Amino acid sequence: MTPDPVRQHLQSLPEPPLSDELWLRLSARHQRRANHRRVLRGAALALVLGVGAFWLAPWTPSGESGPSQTHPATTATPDTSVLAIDRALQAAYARGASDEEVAPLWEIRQRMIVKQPASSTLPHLSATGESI
Amino acid sequence: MNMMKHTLPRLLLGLALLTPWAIAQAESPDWSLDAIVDTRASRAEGIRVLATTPGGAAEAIGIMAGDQLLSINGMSLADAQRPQRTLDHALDASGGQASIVLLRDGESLTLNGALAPWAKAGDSGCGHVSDIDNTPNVSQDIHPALITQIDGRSTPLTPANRHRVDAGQRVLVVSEQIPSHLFSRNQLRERTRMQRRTLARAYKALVVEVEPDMRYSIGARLIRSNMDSASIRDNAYWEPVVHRVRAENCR
Repeated sequence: MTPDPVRQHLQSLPEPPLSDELWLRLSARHQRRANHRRVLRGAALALVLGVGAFWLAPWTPSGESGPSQTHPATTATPDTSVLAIDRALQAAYARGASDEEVAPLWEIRQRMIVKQPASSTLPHLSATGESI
Repeated sequence: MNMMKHTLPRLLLGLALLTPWAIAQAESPDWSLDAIVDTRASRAEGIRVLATTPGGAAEAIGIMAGDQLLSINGMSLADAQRPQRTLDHALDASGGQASIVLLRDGESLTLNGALAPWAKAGDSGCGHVSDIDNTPNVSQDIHPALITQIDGRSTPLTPANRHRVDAGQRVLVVSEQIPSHLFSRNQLRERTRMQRRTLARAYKALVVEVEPDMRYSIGARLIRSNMDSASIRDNAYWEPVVHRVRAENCR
């Protein structure tokens, strides 16, 4: 018998019936693997979230534990730059300064009030020209 | 005689103990209205409030820009010979609580409230500001400037190497001294016209946060992109800057 007739003979044989127990075992194994993959995915996600929280935690300013503390209520404390300008203006009026003399102070006051509460000082440069 | 021997040291000791108290009394904080009041002149309708400091005492009391202050705690400000002195006296004597009578839209109002304590000067040390350190940084377009006012007070007319100031936020008014050769003929003409027209309005103010024992060099930065005629007319071609900060002992 040459190899080709043997193959033809084997292909012509009927397939043996598979037992029900085998299907049950295969199905159970498939389920176990699916469960295993699900558990692994969950563990990986938990690990990523845990590591992320660990890395992000130092960047969160201390004391900000809730939304109510993120935006503290505005106090009645005046902006220090505007206060300094206002006191300079009052000192200028106290010495009888002319309208021309007080004009630069009024101008910077106006700019400060418009800018509030952002940084209120004019540009400061270091010797190298970098902002300080 | 014997009694004098005992009494004199006690008197001296008493004076020595009283002295710090006396100084403390003299330095006791006065009070601020946290408002800008035109005290250059007083009329029958009082002295005019030009602005109130946002978040300050006057605002909390309910004072508004345009109000005419008539009296504080019964001390009249109307027709005062020296309005600023009268106002200061009224505030100092207030003990921090004021009953203020004012005119608003022709109607008389009485407002009551707390004043703000005036921070003691010199508590946190001192520093220096200078306009003479100008070997300006030409590559950064920083040029000489002149400090004309510090905290609303004129600087001495005689040149000073430096000005001693209390630590904290200081408000400087600066005049630019940018060399003429940096301007074209037309630019120079515009600049001269603008300066003649505006006088001291051409100066600019800046706020410097002075740290103790530090020296701040003030200059004028030429803004090359703002050297067209319109920008020069609008005085937008320069800005005051702190171009150098260095440690320097201040007493």
